[in-house]
Order: sequence, then structure tokens, then C-alpha cells
Amino acid sequence: MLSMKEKELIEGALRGDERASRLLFERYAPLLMGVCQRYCRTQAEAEDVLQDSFVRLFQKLPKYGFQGSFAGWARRLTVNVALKTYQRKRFQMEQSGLENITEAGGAPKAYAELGEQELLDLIQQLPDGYRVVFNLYAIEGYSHKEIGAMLGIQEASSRSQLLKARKVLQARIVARQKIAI
Amino acid sequence: MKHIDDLFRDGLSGRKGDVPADLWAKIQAARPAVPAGEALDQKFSDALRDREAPVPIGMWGRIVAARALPRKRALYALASLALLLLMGGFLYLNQGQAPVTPAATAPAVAQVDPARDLQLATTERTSTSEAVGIDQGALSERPAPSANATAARNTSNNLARNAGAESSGTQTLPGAPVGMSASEAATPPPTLMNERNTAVTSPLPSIVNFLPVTTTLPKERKQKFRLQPTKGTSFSRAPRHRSQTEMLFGGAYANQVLTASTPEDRALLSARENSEFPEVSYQITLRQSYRFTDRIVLRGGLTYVDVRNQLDYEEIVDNELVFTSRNNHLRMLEVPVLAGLTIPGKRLSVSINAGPVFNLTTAVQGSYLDPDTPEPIDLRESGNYRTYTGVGYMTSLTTTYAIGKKEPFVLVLEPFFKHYPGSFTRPGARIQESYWLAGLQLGIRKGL
Repeated sequence: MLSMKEKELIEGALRGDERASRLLFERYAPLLMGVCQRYCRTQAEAEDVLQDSFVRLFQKLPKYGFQGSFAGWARRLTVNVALKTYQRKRFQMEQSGLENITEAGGAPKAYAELGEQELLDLIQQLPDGYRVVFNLYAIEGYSHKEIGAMLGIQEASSRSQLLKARKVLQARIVARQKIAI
Repeated sequence: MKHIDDLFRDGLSGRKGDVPADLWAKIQAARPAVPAGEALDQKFSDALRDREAPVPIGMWGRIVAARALPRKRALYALASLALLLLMGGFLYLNQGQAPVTPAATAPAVAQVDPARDLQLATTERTSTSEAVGIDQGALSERPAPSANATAARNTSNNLARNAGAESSGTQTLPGAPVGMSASEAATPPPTLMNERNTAVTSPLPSIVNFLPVTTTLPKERKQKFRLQPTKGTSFSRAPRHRSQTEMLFGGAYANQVLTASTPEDRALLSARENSEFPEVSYQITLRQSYRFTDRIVLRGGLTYVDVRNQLDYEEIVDNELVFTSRNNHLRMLEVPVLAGLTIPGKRLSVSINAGPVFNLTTAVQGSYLDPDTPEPIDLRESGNYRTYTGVGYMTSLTTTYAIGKKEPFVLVLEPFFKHYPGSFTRPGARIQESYWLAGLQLGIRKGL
């Protein structure tokens, strides 16, 4: 359920009230920035996706209809924008295979000590296809069938990408552990 | 040898080595195997699903600007459409007006010749009477009289009743004001002259009027008059007609192209690209056009250009984040020299122009964001901008429309495109800045 203030903010933004729109942005931007960072390799890319997401969010706000959680709706919308960006980029720089994986940056840490930033770094270092599928399946909770439909790929391809993403992540974590010990 | 062995055994056998303090922690951390499958997913999901990240400063400004962009585009498109519709409507409404050329006015003068009017009226009357007396159908079959002829027929009827049809054209009608000639009195109201397909029934009680004659006037044939180029021994055009002055004012979209000089300057490039947005730029032009032939024109003059950009950023004022917008200006004085190829028309003419634009002086006003400094940097004080930006190129499509008859008032509509290939910043500057402009000028033209 939406809190009263949240509802007022959305209604204000719907009326075109600039202050309400700004407050809505301030409330949800950090959460959506977190989503964008997971889907993008760099901070600049994440910022672009966040900007596009909010532009789209305000355009689509009349369609929200106060059904369900606004955060969930905004998150889904942001994921869709991130996917569109990824699909546009996919034709520009096709990247796959373990040989293209670069070493994750930052100081090595043992598995148990991996914090949010380290986990985010690991995800961001994944090849684009792996990163998107891993995000959609492991974090957003979409099924392979849904992912296949969203990305226009076979269900089996989604499974395969997920397995490869996991393998890469495991390999990276093990490598970090060895260096740390 | 045995002594040496004993020495080391006694000295070191019971020695305790230094154990690193975090060794146990490391062993403990390394103990659990790296999870696989769903467990690994869970690990990432737990940590990152609801993770919030700091939002970069200026993001709201970027969003506001990005949201405003389609609205501005729609506004410009609507304005252009409205302008086109206005122009179209204006041209359509002016289509019916008589041509301005002397050739077009000559026949009108001939029609008010009294003698000719009278002669025409007599002929008309005779033929009408014959038609009445001989064959009713023949009347309808013969060519329909023109509006002037019908008017003249009315005149002749009046004259026949009052003074006789054979009298001279200077005959004054009783009903007409004193001093007015027969033809002047007979001239029908202007509406009759201009109406097409108008049913004209004579109000006079002549024999013709007893017949159910309803004459449909023929469609006025549109005549095209165009001044022929002077040939041979005909009079040459006076030089003063070759030169015309144009005063133009218009808005433009100025596209800013920023380039980082080195990879280290990318942060600055990104900051500027994300904080500066194009506003409506404008320019005022006073120029002279000189016509060499009917088709070749040279245009030159002076143009003042104001390239405007909006700088959006957030600053902290009294511990509060305040969104600030400022305008940056790049003001230029330049000399366009354009060669034009004209497609002449009666009232509407089109000319395609192209040529260089020589910059005389450039001045900057405003500021830009630099990630290395907390405050925006003044454009002028940065010392990066040139006062002379070299040569640009311009192309335009001048459309003119003449309004009025004797000394026509010429409206000018000119879409244009300008490109400044040279950078507005000095060679050593961290960011190279260049522009292209696309806009629309409106103005007037006057012959000297």
C-alpha cells in the first residue's frame, strides 16, 4: 500500500507540480540508481539509464493507476529502460566468452567479507549478456521464459548465460580468496 | 658437527613462531566453499536487491532538461506549421488579385473607352434584337457576352431610350451626374465586373428583358503576364533596380559540439555536456543584394548573432541545494557574402544562396562547470575563447513575396544553415567548441 504522502506526491506529479516531481525523484532515485548500477558497466552509463528512466517514469505516470507498490513499478520500468539500452548496445559491441573477462578491480577480499560494493563490482565486470541475465534471474526473480521474452532470446540461451555468469562469479570469488589468503 | 647440531636444536626446538593476528579469521573466511547455484544467487540478491546508491549531483537538472526537450521540439514544430499555414493562406487569398504589370492594366483602360463602349453596345443590341426576332434558340447558342459587353448593353438601352444609339460617346445620361460620360455612367458596379458565372438580368424594360434570358458569364481567363528580359534596343533596367536592401531577423537552433583535447579532460567534457543545453539563438541581418542578371544575385551585409546556451547546475545556498539556470551567450558580428541563384516569379520568387561568413569579432558571456572547481568558471575569465573565430559557411533559401501594386512591399522568408568549422576556443584549451546553426529568418526587402 502507498503511504499517504507518497500518494500525494504521485498525484502532485501527475498534476505537473514540479515540487512534487522533485520530491518523488529524491525519494526513489537512490533505489533506482542501485538498479541502474547493477545493469551497467560504468557509472556514466548508469547515470544515463537513470535519467532516461525518470523521463520515462514521468511520461508513464498516468498509467501507474495506483495499483501495487510504486517502488516495484518504478523498478520494473527502470529495468526495462536498462534492457533497452543494453539491446541498443548489443549490436555495437558484442561481447561474450570467458576470454574477454577482465580482472575485477579493488583489493581482494575473502568471500565472507564481500560487501555490497565488492559484489556490485563483480557483477559490473561480467560480460553484458551474462550480467543482464544474472540480474534478471538472480536478483529480480524473473523466470527463464520471461527473460527469453524480454530479451528476444531462447529460454535455453537464458539458462546457458546464467550458468556461465555463475561460473565466472565463482571463479572470481575463488581467485580473490586465494589472493587474500 | 655434533656440537653445532646441538646448538641449533637447543636454541630453536622449543621456539614459538609469531602467528599473524588475522590468520584465524582468514582461515575461517576461506573455510566455507564458494557457494554455487541458487546459493550464489541468494548471496547477490540479499546484498544488492534493495541497495540504494548515491545519486550524482545535477541529475534532477538533467532530467528536467531531458523532459523539456520533446516539449520544445513540439512547440517549434507547431510554430513552423502555423507559419507555413499562415503563409499558405496568405498566398491563396492573394491569388485572385489583379497582376501588377502594366500589360495587365492596359485592357482595363481600353474597356472604359466611351466610343468603343458605345459601338460595342450597338452591336450587342442589334444582335440581341435579331435573335429575338428570328430564333429564340439562337440566342442561347450564340457566344455569351462578356461582363463588359452586358454592361455596355445596359448602357445602350439607356441611350436608345434617352438620346439615341447613334449619338457620340460623350453623350451625358439624364440619370448620370453632370460631366460623367456615357461609358462612365454605364460602367457597372465593380462586383459585377469581378464576379464569375454570375446570372445577369437587365433591369430595363427593353424587349430583351421580356425574354427569359439569363446569361452566364464566361469564366474569366487567367492571364499570365511576365516581364520579358530586355533585349536588343529596348530600354535597359536602371541600375537602382539592381540593388536592394534586406532587413532580416530570425531564430535558430545552435548545436554545440564539444570535444576533449586529451583523455584526461573527459570528466570536464562530461560535466559540460550534461550541464549545457541549447536555447533559442537569434540573429539580425542587414544586407544588400545586387542583381547581376535576372537569376544571379550577390548578397552581402552585416549579421549580429547571439548563440545562447542554458547552463543548469545545483549549488548550496544557506545549506540548501538550489537548482540554478543561467544563460551563456556567444555574440558574433559577421559578414556574410552569398552568391544566389534566383528562380523568378510574378510575385513569389525563390533564391538558393551559399557562401562564406567572415567573423569580425566574437564575445562570450556566462560560465561553465568544471568538476575540479566548486564554482562555475566564467567563460570570459577562463581565457579560453577566441575573439576571432575565422570563416564559417552558410547556405540559405530566400523566398520573397511581393505585396502591393506600384511599389510592392517584399516579404522575405529565409531558412538557413550555418556551420563554423573552426573552434571557438583557443588551440591550447582543454575543450574544443564548435557550432552549427539552423534557423529561419523573416524580413523585408526594399529597392533603392
